[in-house]
Amino acid sequence: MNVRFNDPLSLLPYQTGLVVTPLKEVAARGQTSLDSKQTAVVLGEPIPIVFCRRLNNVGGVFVSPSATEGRFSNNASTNELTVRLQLVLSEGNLPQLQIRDVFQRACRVGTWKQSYDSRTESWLPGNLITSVAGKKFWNCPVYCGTGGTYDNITTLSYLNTHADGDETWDKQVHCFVRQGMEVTRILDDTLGPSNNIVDLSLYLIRQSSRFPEAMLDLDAMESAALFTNANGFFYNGLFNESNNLEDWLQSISRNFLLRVSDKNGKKAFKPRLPVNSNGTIKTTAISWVFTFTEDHILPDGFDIEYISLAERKPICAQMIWRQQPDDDIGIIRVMQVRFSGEAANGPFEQIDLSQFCTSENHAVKVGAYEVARRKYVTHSLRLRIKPDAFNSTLTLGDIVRVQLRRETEVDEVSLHDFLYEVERINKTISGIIELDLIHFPINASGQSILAVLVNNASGTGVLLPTGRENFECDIPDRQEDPNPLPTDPQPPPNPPNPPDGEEELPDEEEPAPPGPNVPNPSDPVEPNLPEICGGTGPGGAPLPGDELEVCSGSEVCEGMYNEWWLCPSDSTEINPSCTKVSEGEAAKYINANNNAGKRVFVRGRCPDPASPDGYGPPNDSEPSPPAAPTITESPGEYRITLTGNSTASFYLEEGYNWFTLFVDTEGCADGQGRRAFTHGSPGGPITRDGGAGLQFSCSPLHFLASGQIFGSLIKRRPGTTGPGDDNFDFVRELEFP
Amino acid sequence: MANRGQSQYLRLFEGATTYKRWQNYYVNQTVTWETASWEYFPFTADGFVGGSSGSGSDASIVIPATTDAVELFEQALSDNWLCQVEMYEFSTKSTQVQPQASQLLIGSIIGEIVNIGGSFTVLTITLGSSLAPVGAQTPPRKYTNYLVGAPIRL
Repeated sequence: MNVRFNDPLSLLPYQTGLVVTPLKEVAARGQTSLDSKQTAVVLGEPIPIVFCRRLNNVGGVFVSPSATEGRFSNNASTNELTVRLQLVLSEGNLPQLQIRDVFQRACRVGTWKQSYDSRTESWLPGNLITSVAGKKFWNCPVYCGTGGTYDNITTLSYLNTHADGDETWDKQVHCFVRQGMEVTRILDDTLGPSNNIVDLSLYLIRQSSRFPEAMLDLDAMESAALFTNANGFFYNGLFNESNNLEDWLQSISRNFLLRVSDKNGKKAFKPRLPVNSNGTIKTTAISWVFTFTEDHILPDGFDIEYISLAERKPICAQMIWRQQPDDDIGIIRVMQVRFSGEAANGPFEQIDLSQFCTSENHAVKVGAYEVARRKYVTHSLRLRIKPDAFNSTLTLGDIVRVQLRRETEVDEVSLHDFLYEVERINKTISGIIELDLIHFPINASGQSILAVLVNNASGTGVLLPTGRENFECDIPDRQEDPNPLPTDPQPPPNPPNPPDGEEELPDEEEPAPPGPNVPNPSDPVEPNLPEICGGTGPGGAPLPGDELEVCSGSEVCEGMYNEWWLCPSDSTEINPSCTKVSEGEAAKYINANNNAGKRVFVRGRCPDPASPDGYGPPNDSEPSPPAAPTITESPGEYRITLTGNSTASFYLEEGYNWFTLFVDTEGCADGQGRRAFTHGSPGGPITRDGGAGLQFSCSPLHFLASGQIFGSLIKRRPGTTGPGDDNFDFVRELEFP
Repeated sequence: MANRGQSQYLRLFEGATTYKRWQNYYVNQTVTWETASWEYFPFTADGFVGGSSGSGSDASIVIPATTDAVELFEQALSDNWLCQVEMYEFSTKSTQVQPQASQLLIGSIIGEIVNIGGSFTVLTITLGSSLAPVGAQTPPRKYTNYLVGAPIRL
């Protein structure tokens, strides 16, 4: 049985990201601390990804690269300090920075070179500081780094000098990156910097796991990229916080008015608003693809869940974004978005986009969506419907109409009549289709209310001044110098030896099943079964006159009452064909002469005063080997004496050698006395069905065998004919060399 | 609804290489559909869910645990093969000898085999995505000795 559970309908708004409430509000994450101490790389940290593309004076990101190596030296007379730092800018290849975009503290100072996939410049890390009389001693780091390969990393070699006593030598270096890591942009299929969240997401999906390309819906991704591009939703940020990719996709997509969607098992982004073919928000009347009525919905196939009051209350969305001037550091900005006359004094909900959003309009539109969906999106539906024409055409994101009659009053019929967006489709093998739908509010003109509000929302366009008026700490003309930094790739001066420790495990052989079986331990609760001892024939077969007894140690209990049973040779347990031949406490059984071919069982019962006969349930032994006839030997011949057989047919089963068999039929009914039978030839087989059957009717019957005989002596069962095994009883093995 | 039939076509593949094609409607027949041959195998696939990611609605395939099937899916799980199941709808009033040219694709799911479980006789294959719901995966690269050596200590 396969049981499936559906998520509660009340979770749908949360699963779709329609309703998300921040759990905590913190300082703007896009803020950069300027006058701080230079940071160093720590092994294990994520390598940052600088992802941005400045277009039309919008975008770019201010980063503070960490150092991996340093070289510190001073002038022996002036004590001027020279600091060289190897800095990591970003994973991947960044286009060359502009000269005006490199700072130490807030000042454009120093010189630099930039390279990709290698170290920059050839200087060796080290502390070469010497003490200069009368000057301040430079207390520079002594662990200066060892150098690495910098594979697929963009690095910067920064050089600056500091006069004696300058305390700014260890301050943080900053870079304003206008063009971030190069990726293949999905919209124009070109390698270069990008500000499209879809490009970043695809890069991370492909790099972060072995995610199959076949499970990416690239068409939908391209549509989403077109949507963000057309509406100015750009990513200009530093990505360096360790995240779960799925979580990150879910959370970041909401800030671009996208949602993560699985369509046919393929992952994609989908706009949260209706869009035109060119990616712009669709503000014309919405048409729907199908109308569901009572004819389609199955009994009990209608569930409705309203969004809770807490998620519907009017709020003022405080949108935090980053104003990014062309020639200075970014400024954190806040824009409040609310409906006119609502939430004038809160509640306030902070939505921090400052890490990547450098456009006021982007922030305002996201805020408008958050505020508007609280006001207008009221509920979700789950319909269970029978298949119809829509079965092969309805897809995620389609707009449908649900129009149901509500007949709860005698003289009036009302309608549940709304438009919905198809959020989830579940098609089952039974044919029943389950749709999860989210309310899609429209106005009297048939336009999407959310789409109109978001499309019309725009920022004030006001740009705040940076508050900085003094650029005297900059090297002259640096502020306007857009020339790129020089590049000078160098091999690593001292590659780590050894590099990262590696242990490559050898391929093991194919896993194999375990070897020979090992008997399981006996169950201490279940009693042993009695075993039969005393048979002196081959394999313990009882011979005439053998005294059979329960083997020592196999008694189930003390004072066991033994019953001895004689059964046909094909018996595997005591059955009605068996005959009880002996019984008693610790009783034994002496095998009789005429038992050849029969099997012996012993049944042991333990004393039980509560039982009517004083003994408990039976414990039956395994059957003994078939009782064997007596063989007596005389020089050159072997005598087999069978007693108690009146009429029988005897055969020698397939053997491997010739034999001569003398049958002493004296006293038998045929009265022919002793006769010799020879079958086969040396090395040839003896076939049982080749007319070799010897049929006699006498008791006792003596066989005298000479020569070589290997095989089994079997006896035809009375009333049977033909060669089948079921027609014979085993008498005993013959092996006369 | 009574005249609607559904058949499912399952394909195990990796890149351009297809390892197995099964269908579950034409009993004991190998049929041709979309220029490929599909063997009969009595599997059932359920959970053709499309929608918001993260709802935990993975598709599942139930198969008899024959030796061949167990070995096949064990290898698929080990080697990260993909599994695609397509569900078609057609009229049961028309011919049932072979797939109807007019049958309609009403559901499709593609996924990695993320889990196999069940009993000795029945296995349930779960299709999904290998994007782990827990654990940090991004940014993808971290600083190592190989990349930056022993970094400066400031």
